[in-house]
Amino acid sequence: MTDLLRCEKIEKSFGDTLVLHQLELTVRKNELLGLVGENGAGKSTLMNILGGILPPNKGAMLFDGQAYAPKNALEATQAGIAFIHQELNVLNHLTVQENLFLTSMPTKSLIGVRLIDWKQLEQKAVAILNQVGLQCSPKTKMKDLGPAEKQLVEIAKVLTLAPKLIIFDEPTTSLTLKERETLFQLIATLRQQEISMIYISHNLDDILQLSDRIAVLRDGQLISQRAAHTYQKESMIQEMIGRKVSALFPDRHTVPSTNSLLKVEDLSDGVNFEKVSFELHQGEVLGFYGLMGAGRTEVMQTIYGLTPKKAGAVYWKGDLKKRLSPRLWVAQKAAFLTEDRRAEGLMLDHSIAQNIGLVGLRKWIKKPFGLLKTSLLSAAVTDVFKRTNIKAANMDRQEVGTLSGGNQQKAVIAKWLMLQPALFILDEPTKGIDVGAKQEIYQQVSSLVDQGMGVIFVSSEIEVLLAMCDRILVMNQGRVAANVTRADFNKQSLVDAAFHQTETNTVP
Amino acid sequence: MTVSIPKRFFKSGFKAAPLFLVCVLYYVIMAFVAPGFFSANNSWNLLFNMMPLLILALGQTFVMIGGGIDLSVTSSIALTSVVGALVMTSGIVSNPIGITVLALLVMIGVGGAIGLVNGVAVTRFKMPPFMVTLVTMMFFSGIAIWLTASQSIHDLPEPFVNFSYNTVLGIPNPLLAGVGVTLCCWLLAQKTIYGRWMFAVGANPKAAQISGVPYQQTLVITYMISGLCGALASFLYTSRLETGSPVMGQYVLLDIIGAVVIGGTSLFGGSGKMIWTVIGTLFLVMLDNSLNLLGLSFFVIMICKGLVILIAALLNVAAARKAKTT
Amino acid sequence: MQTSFLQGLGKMLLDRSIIVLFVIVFLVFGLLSPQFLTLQNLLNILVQSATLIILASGMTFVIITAGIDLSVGSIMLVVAVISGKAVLDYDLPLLVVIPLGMVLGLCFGYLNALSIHRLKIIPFIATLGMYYVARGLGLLISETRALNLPESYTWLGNTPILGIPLPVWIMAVVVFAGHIILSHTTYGRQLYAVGEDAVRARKAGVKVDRIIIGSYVLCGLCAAIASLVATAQLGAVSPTFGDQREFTAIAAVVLGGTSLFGGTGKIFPGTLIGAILIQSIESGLVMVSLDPYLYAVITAGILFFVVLIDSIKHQRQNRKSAKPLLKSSS
Repeated sequence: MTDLLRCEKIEKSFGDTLVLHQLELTVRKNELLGLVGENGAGKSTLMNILGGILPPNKGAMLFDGQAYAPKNALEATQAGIAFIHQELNVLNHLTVQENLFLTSMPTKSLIGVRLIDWKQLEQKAVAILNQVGLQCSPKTKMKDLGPAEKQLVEIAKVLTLAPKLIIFDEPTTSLTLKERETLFQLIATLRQQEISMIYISHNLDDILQLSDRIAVLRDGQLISQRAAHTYQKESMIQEMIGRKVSALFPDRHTVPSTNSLLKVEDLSDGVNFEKVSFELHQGEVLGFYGLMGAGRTEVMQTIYGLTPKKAGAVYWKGDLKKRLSPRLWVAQKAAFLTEDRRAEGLMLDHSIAQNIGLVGLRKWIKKPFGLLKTSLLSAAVTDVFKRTNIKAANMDRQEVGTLSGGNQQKAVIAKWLMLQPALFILDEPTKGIDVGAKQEIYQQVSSLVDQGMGVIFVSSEIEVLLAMCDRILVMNQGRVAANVTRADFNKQSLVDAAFHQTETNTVP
Repeated sequence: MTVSIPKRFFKSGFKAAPLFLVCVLYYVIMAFVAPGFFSANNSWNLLFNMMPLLILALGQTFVMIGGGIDLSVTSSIALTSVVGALVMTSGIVSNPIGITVLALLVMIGVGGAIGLVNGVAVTRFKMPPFMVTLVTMMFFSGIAIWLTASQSIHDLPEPFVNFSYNTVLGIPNPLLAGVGVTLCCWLLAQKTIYGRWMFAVGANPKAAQISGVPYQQTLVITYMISGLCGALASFLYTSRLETGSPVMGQYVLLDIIGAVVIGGTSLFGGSGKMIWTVIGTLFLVMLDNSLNLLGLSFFVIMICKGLVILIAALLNVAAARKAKTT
Repeated sequence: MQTSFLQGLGKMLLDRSIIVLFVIVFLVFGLLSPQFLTLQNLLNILVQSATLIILASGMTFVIITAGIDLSVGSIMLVVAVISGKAVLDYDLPLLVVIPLGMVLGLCFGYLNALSIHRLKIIPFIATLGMYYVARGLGLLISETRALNLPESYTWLGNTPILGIPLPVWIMAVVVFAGHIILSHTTYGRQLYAVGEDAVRARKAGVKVDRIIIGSYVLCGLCAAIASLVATAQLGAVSPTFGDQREFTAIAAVVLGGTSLFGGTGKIFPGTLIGAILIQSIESGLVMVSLDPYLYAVITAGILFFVVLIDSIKHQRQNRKSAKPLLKSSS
């Protein structure tokens, strides 16, 4: 078998940070290459280079026997490389057929004016939709399709370009189990059409199931690339992180008290989840496990008062709280680290100090005019800044947006520590940050719990929850599917509870 | 060395220091070019005339730091001018000083109410700020014209008319008012909890909300401050012109936004300083004054100012883009 | 059951707010003034609304891209003044003056587009700057005096063809052309794509810059045509010509169902009906002889109401686009 794509000694750096180092990667004709690596291993940079969005600093690429150095996305497409991104790039107000042929609509001339040839457009659209096995009218508005169908449209769109190589970047994150099967079937069909593919995913089982060969990336280097059957899941993980997983976590040795901190009864928002009940005690870490989109984030947002609740009750230290709002929780010293730190956690172009000093400002005001005791405030900010170990030259000058992901997350934590919180809700706190920062965050959480704080820990990584939590709640399709205490932790049953699809539910 | 200056210039986002230099430079050049520009009298006038605009621009700075814009401020000038004049000529209080104070209070009330309408529409109903304030501008200007049937109101009480010319400790009242408002605005923005909240809401409303900031109230207050500043400026304008006019402030909108944008306050919210606005206003007033002295017509000056503001907006965008890439 | 019925009714009224408003307007004015519902008056409304419809058609393109053009009223003034001067002072024939005016409109539109797309200035600031520049220019050239146009020009405004005045024909052509561009050309479909999400459109291979430039240029062109039609109808250009027309144009577009947030909307029938409705209100107010000083207040009130509904709809749509996870609860 010959190589379709060969990358030779690719190097790429941003400023002083070397992101890709002497990277070698090959994709053979008619194969599916699984690509794995931690966040920050250099996968997305590599893909951007392949897609013509970034130029490499050094090195060369060979595609289909010819030198390949795309200057922009268009040149990459013309060469025959196409992308299916994690985020769907569809236009909801347009129809399916318009989305498919947005830049190449068939036209006919009418007295010198080029009008869209709707008939021909529909024929072409039907043909291409059949190819991906999507049964819907091409005149359907895009917004009326579900996520899986939208993704099929995206793949169909890519097929109109007759690509030689398709790169899938985390394509299954928003799909149900069943939809995922449909996608895999389509991938099998594509292989029969002699299209090569690169499949990037964090789901190692999928990678093992689909790939002909697998490549592991770590710290911008290719660690290994060989036939898929030579890999096992555990060895793959070790190659990805380069160390034993268990070393990441601190020892948890405190026992939760029996004092109720937060109690939620039959909470529903009417859309994303219903009848969610649980109780959190002081000094307890409660894990929320589930697939992406199981309703975990929505529960937290409703508790924190960001989205309205439809039914149910929330008790704080035994008192019923009727009107939930961030202001209430801040006053009660309950902190909420949201999933999307850039959009919801930080003021990116403000300094680190300004970001940290935003919460709990009321503590520092002099009556009656609301003037701030600035020196006391900045002393407190400095203290928290040091405690959280944020790596930055100057907290008063440096903008938070210039920090790395891990340090940004530490800044969010620092912000909330200003409250001296009694409850900390952490929604995917280690998403997209490096291993070192993860470790520090786990340490931080552990020591806060030792001091009696209650923590709700939302995560999609079961290993993390198993190591950190006193109790784990599993959510599945908007309902609590399991509630297990530490003594009964069983990885397999927890994962089963999260993945189990109640088929009767999917039929309307 | 030569490269580092423009780099820093952009990094600091076209901020106070270089703009101040431009002001000084412009003053020196115009001292030679424009007849009568460099005289104690003209310089004094310049400062004197600057005050109402300064107050308006400071109010606008609050709104823009909060991430909005207030185009309706001209209508608060017109409406408060008319309402104030109507109160003063109504004779419900016989004491001339008493009625002037009453008029001022009513004006402040009206200005604040206009701001409240804007703020509630923007925060509660999530209407685009420029659209809301464009509409309220039309609406309240329309009310001002309707109230007076497009006529001016004369015969205002003596203490009110004299207000602009009287002095305290040798300092003219308008100057005192301008400095006082500047000081209050600076304190509010830089030294209070409210100021912190305002910057936070402008920089990232969602993050501010989650952090427990009462973001709706914070935003509403920015619009109310702008409305209040409109009322105060209107008090000065009306006193100086000795008439209450429903078209007062018709052309001043461009100057207000110009002064803030030239000062370097971000059009995207989250950054800005009162002192930048002071310098921006100074520059704009000098531009206006010097072009006048050069004998250019009102419309040419209007075009010039329009262009200067476009350039300032351009630098503003360049600074924002620069901030993103570095 | 009761509440869901009310909710359904509320949703229906919100979605069809323009029809509701239409019915209210015609009922109220029909009751207040018997002449309002006569055929003659309805025809008059159509003739009077011609310029507004043309202007609003251009504005529709810009608003679909989630932009705004505050300078159209000023562009109208400049075009009117320059073409008026060309007729009065230089005695140029109409065959020269009309293309000249249209090219002027194109140029101003292009300048707007340049500062928005190349210099990346926010649309409302860029066009607000242009509002002052163009108005200043117009007043400068006219020396703030009114121009009275000769018969050789104004016949355009009142000559009927097949019994229908020329402005209505021009309006019909503009609306038809605008509708075809939006609904049946690649440019039109891409315009909606850019309006919904410029970043996604760019990723999908749309040349976003060209689309945006095109929208402002078309808007400028429509402003110029509207200006020529209006001057021919009025026979004079006053210094306040075109003033605040941008407001009524925006009101007509948004009233016609085009969202200020971009990505949706149509010229036919949306903007067409919106503009006729606004003109009907204006002419109705004249018929019931309301204080003329209140017109601006009422127009502003309507515009406020319309933007409010648009914003509520937009919020609702955002909430709806979050796909519900619960599938079983019937």
